[in-house]
Amino acid sequence: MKEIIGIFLVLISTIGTLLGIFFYENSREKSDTFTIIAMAPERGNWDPEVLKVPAGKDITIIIKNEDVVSHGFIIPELDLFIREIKAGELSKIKWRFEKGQYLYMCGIWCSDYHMYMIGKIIAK
Amino acid sequence: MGKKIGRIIFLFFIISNLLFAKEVHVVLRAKRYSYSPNIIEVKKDDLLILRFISEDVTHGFFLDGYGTEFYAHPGEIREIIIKANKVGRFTFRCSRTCGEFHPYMVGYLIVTPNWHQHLGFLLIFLFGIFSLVLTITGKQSPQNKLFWKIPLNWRFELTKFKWFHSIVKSRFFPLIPIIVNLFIFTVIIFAAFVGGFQPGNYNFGIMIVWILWWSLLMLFMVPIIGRFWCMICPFPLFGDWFQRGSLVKVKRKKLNGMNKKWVRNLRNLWPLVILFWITTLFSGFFTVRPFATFLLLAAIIIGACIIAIIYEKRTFCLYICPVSGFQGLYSNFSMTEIRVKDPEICKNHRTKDCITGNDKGYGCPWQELPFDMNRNTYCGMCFECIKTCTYDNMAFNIRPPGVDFLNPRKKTDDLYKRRDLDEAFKALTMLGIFLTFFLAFQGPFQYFKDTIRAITLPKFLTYILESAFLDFVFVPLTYLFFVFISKKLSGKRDISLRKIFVEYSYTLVPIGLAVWAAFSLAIILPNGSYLWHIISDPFAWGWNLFGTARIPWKPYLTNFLPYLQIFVLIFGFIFALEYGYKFSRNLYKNEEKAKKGWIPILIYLILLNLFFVFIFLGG
Repeated sequence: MKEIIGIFLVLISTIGTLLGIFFYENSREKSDTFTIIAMAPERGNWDPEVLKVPAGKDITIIIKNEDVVSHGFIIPELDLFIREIKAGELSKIKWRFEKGQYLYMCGIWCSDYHMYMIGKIIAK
Repeated sequence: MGKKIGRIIFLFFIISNLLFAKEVHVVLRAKRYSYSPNIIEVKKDDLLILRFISEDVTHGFFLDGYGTEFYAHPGEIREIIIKANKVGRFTFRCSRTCGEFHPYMVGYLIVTPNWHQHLGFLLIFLFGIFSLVLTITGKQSPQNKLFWKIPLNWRFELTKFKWFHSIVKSRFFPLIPIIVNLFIFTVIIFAAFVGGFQPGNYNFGIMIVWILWWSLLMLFMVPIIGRFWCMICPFPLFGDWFQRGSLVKVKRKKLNGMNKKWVRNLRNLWPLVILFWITTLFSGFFTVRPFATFLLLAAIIIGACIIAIIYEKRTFCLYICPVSGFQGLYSNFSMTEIRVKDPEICKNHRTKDCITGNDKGYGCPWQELPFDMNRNTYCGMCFECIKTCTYDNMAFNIRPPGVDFLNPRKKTDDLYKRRDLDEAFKALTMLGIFLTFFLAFQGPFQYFKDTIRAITLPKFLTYILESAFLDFVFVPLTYLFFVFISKKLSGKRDISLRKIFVEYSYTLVPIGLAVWAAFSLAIILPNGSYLWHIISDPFAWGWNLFGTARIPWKPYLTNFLPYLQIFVLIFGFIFALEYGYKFSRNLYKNEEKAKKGWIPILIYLILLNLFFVFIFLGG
């Protein structure tokens, strides 16, 4: 009996933990959540540079700055902006997109190629 | 009327301040991972006018003690005025994640007169002179007492409490703490794996292992409870499970695996001296890149399993685990021990269950002879001997720190060439490794950061050579020089230089612990606030488990850091002096020779600690 309790605890703390992590990650409102990784153009630019989202539905976009400089996030057409996302941090926006195409760009002078840091959201 | 005078005085102060406060203009350029100039020196009450320029990525500036913080994006110039009204050496650190070495991007602001340094020098000097006077007048504390008062054989037995006794007798102890730890390390390893090559300051694996674990180890576990970490370490669990064929219950049969014996001449600290040194060569990757931490931990887990299949019992922990060496040596200083209560009972006990094992527990996995154990070096605190002892003759004690240093040699020490140059070199290399770590992680110099990060192969090779020279040549040779003088001065001929070298090297244990504790304080206090973030969002997936993911980075208590560092340095120094003279008596037997032999070592210890005060607080 003691042996079984011990093995059970070991399994919970290893495999159980990993399963728990994946379960929790999947249970978050995933289908409406999109991630954009911000990187200066010489280090890879926005990832993805073209993001496809469903139109007419509340969605969350997570902008994750994996870079070593601050970046901003602007969609000029919608007057939507996040002033600054510090390196290593992330920001979220919630929005309902109408059908169409929207350019998004960085709003902080982040590198010599800052003005090339442009991406596109396609809502359909 | 009084109001008017008050105003005039106030105006006078402002004007005199403006007239006499010197303005110091500094253009401070930040580039990964150092500042230029890296050391700024001003006088008290000067007005420091900083023009801050970032040359590559966003860099920040946080000044310890003053709390000033600002940042600049690349191409931006910030101008900031700081009134230097506090004296001492203050570290300024980058406050914006700028790359993998970001937590270690620092520079120094020195506001003279540097009273912190003077205070440290004065205290070291005073205690040193005090010890010298005691030595000359023959008033050093007696051999069996610590600081004239505490008897070295004083013990407080914890196992006499019923609840404690029943806990340590249970087969679930220390299994339950190990399993809790296994859970934490599963998360660490997974986070280190998904963290990849990003900067590690927002990574759960990097932060828990290199900021929290390392600091806990050096500030709390090793100095107070010895090899407590070895007790709760989850890595050998699978090897034990395989060897015993069961996890909790005791199976009375031969252990699984090949059960080979480790080479006799390497049954000492030498393999660990070398392996720890080799591991530190890659610290520029392990401590900053999550994936490198993942590789290190994976190598340790797989290594522990393979060694458990080939070699007997805990051979991995004893002779291979890189962090086992300093824990073993330093835990001789710790305040706890597992020892026999009454040796007479063991003498008459023929079956020696603590070695052979019985249905309550296994024979000592750490290949010690529990009935004959008198030092902590090779005791992993697994509590098996407490479980197996049929007479309840094993105790878990609280004791005065450092009493193991004076215990006599045993047969096994001679047999395995233990407690010899291996321990001396462990103590000496720990000082050298401390110095390289300090320069790379807490120093302002780009050169040492470049070499430890191995940005080019020649730089990495220079780092290896410099580190080898420092650890195995320079530090031991300077020590040897004073040992040599000690021998000459004492006038004792029939004693080998080697014996003196080894005996006095134990004074470097409290000193080593103190410098590593001071180093760890300067790691945990500035970087501790990252822990709030990473416990809520361990994989950088946008989680917020405990609602603390948004707490920004902020150094804690760094204005007290110099005082805390002086305190731990003095603490180690006092113990080194106290025990040093006792070693002297042990070596030279006669009091007159002990006095003469002690003086050169005392001078060495004073110089060494003045140097440490200088690198922590001076400049």
